[in-house]
Amino acid sequence: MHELSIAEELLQIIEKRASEEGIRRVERINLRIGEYSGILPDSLEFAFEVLSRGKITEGASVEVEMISPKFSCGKCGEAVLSHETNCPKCGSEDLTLHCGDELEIISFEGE
Amino acid sequence: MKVNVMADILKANDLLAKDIEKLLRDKRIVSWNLMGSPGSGKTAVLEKAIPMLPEGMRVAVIEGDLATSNDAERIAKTGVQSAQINTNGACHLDAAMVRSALEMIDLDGISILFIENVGNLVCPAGFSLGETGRIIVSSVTEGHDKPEKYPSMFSTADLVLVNKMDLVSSTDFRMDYFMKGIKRIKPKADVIPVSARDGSGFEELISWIADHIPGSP
Repeated sequence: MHELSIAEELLQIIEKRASEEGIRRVERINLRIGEYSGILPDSLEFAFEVLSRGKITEGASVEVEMISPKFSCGKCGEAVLSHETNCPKCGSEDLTLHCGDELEIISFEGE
Repeated sequence: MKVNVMADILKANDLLAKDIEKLLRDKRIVSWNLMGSPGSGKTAVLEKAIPMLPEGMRVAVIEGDLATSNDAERIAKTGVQSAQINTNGACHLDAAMVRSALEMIDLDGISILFIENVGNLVCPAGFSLGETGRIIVSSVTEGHDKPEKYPSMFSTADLVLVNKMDLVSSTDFRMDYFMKGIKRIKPKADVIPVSARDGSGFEELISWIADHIPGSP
């Protein structure tokens, strides 16, 4: 729903780092998005493409790695998938979400 | 040339949220980000709960809505400080909005701050406001499958209120189904069925709020 404002933040981060590194044309951007982040990758890519017109990121491809939510068991530390209600190893219900809400830029490539 | 960035895209919001968290912690204020669908009864829950809180537990409320100051006016009638944020179309509150709203409130002597987010079960989940924790108001008229339909929101809840229990017999709402969803998404969350209309469940809610004041037994 707010992908446009996220795309604006993303563009600002890239423009700042690109100018520090002397990059004038960005070709590829690598993102990591959690399924629980509330962000739709397609909408984000579309918003980013529109904002990029006339900018150093114009025409850049956006690669998204989706992250599935995972819980960790508070008792034995086992990583537990989101459809399980108990730890498959020790049976504990003490589960905490430890990934799946990411919204990160990993890297970008350009010249 | 490849540039490694490894940055959270919402870093600017998170940094501001950390400032708010510190400000509230220094003033020993517990803050609750109150979230839920439009019409789930977030404001009604506050209107009912605030007068029931023990003396000495002073409350302030920040109200977030796209438009109007209706909710802040409703809260002001309970006699506590309230500040309205109008997001003018934005689907969630962010830390910058909360920081400006805090400037409108005299925080001295306040022990609990409620921040009522924009009615929305999706976007507010992604934006930290520097809060101590999150309370979701769901209601029986929305149906029992909301936790599994909106896992990103429910996975962040410390407390889930199931409101409008006075209407439950007129709906197909099944509490066991709802609880199964919570258990799968956020097993640690507490769940309290309430009715902001007839007041049922509010004693338990008031105890829950009191138990989460720092220094409480």
